[in-house]
Amino acid sequence: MREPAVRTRELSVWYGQSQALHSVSITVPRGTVYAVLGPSGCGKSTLLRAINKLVLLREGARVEGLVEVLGVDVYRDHSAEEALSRVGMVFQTPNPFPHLSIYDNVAIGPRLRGMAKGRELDKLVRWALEKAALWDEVKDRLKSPASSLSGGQQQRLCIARALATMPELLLMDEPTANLDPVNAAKIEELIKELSREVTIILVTHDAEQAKRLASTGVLLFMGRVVSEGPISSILSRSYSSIIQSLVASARRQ
Amino acid sequence: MRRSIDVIYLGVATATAIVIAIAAAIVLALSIESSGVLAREGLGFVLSPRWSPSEERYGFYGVALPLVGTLAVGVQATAIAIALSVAAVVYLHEYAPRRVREAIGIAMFAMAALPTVVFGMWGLSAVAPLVREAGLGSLCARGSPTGQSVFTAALVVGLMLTPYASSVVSAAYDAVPFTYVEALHSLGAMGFERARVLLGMVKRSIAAAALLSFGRAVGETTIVALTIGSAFNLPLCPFEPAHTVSSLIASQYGNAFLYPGLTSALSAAALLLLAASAATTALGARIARAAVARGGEA
Ligand SMILES: Nc1ncnc2c1ncn2[C@@H]1O[C@H](COP(=O)(O)OP(=O)(O)OP(=O)(O)O)[C@@H](O)[C@H]1O
Ligand SMILES: [Mg+2]
Repeated sequence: MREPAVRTRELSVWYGQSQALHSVSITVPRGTVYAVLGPSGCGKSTLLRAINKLVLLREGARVEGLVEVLGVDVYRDHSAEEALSRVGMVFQTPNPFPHLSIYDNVAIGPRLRGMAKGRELDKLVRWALEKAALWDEVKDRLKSPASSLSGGQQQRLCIARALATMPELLLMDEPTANLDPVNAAKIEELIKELSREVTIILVTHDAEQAKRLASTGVLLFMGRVVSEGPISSILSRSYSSIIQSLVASARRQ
Repeated sequence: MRRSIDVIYLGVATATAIVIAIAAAIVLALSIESSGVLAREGLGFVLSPRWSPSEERYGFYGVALPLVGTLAVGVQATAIAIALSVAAVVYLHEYAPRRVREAIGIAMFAMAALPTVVFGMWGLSAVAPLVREAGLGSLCARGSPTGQSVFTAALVVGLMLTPYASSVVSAAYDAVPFTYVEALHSLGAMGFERARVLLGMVKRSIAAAALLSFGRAVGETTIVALTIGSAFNLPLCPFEPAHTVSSLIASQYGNAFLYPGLTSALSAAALLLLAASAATTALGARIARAAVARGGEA
C-alpha cells in the first residue's frame, strides 16, 4: 500500500489568539472521495487550507502539528513545494480570473510550471475542459473572457483550471454551495467521474451530498474531530455521543 | 442638534457655490481676455510654430511648439511615474519585509507633501547638472548645454507624481478580492508571477493613474519652468530644451503688459491648458471610480 494522500497528526491552527482547529488527526486514503463535514464555522475550510498551506496567507495565522501530503511533511520538508504542486484546489465561490480568457484561465497553471507550450498546451487545455465537462459549451469561444460564463460554468472552469496541472489530490471547498440544483448536480456528476483518477477531499455541510459522493470522511465540531470513518457510520452517531466525544477530546488537551 | 446640522449644511453649500462661482469667473475672464488673439489667429493659434510678440504691431502668436513640448513632458513624466509606481507596488506587496514597506510608505507620504518648488529647485540644482555631466545633450542635434531639457523636466515631474500614482495603483492592488490571491497560490504562482496576474486585474486603475498623472503633468508649472530650459524648439529629442504651455505662461506673463497681444495670447494658452488638464483628469477620475465600484475590477 502506498502512503495515504493526506495524514494529519495533532494539527492545530490559530488565527491570532483564536484557535480554529484543535489537535485534528485525520487520514485520507488514496483514490477515494473523503468528505469533511460539520456545521458552519467548525473549521472545514481551515482544515483544507492547512493541508495546502494557504492558511499561512492569513495575517497572524499559526500552524502546529504534522501535515503529510502525498508522503511529504509540508511544513518541514524541503520538497513541500513539489508535493503541493500536485495538489489542486476549487473554492466555495467560483473564482476564475475575470480578466483572462477561458483558455488562459485553464492554461495559467501549466504555463506557470512550464509544463507545455503551443500545440501541447492546446491539447492539455482541451483535455482539462473535457474532464470538467465544459469543452462542448466553450470550444467555440475559448478567447472570450471567463466572466462571460454562467456561475455553474465558471465553477467547472475552475475545476478545469485545477485539473490542467494534473493534480493527484483535489481539494474542493463546498464547490456546489453557490450553485442552483441543476448546476450542483452537474458538479456532483463530475466529482464522481474524477474520483476514478484523483483523490478528492470534499468539504460540504450537506450530509446527503456526502453520502452520495464520499466513502469516508470526518465530522468536525468547533474545531475538533467528532468522528472519522465510513460516511454512514459518522453520520449515524447520536447527538449525545457527539457531545460525549467532544467533552472527551477537550479533556485530553 | 438639527439646527447645527442645518448650519453646517448651509456653510458647505455656500462654500461650494463660491468655489464654483470663482472657477466660472476665471474661465469667463480667460475667455474674454483670449478672444482678441483667437479672433486674429484663429486655428493658427494652435497650429503655428511662430511665437513672436514683438513683431509688427500686434505680434504673432502660435503655441504649436509649446503644445508639443507639453505633450512630450506629459507623456514622458507619466511613463516614468507609472513605471516607478508599478515597480514600487510590486516590490512592496510581493517582496518587501513589513518594516521596509512601512518605511517606504511614510517616505512616499512625505514626498507627496513636498511643495513642487522644492522638486523644481532640486531638479535645477541636482538633476540638470547630472544630465549635463552625463553628456546626454550630445545625443541630440540641439542638445542642452545646461542640462535643462524635456527629459530633465519629465524626470522630476515623474518623480513628483510617483507617490500619487502609486497610491492609486496600490489601493486597487489591495482591493483585489482575496480569493484570487488564494487561487494563484493554489496554482503555485508566487512573487513576480502572482504580481503579473494581479496587475492584469487592476489594469483599469493603472490606466486611471496614468490619466490622472498626465493631467497633473500637463498643468505642472513650477518644476517645468525651472528645468525645461525655456526654448522655442520642437522637442523631437528628449535632451533638448523646450517650452511647455505652462512654462511659457510662467516665463512671459510678468512682461505681458509690454506687448499689445501677449496678455490675450497667454490667456488663450491658459484656457487651452485648463481644458486639456480638466479633460484628462475627469476621464482618469471616472475610470478610477468605475474601477473601485467594480470591486476587484474585471
Ligand atoms: N482569517 C480569519 N481570521 C480570524 N478567524 C478566522 C479567519 N478565518 C476563519 N476564522 C474563524 O475560524 C473558524 C473556522 O472557520 P472556517 O472558515 O474554517 O469554518 P468553516 O467550517 O469552513 O465554515 P463555513 O461552513 O461557514 O464555510 C471560525 O470560527 C472563523 O470565525
Ligand atoms: Mg468554509
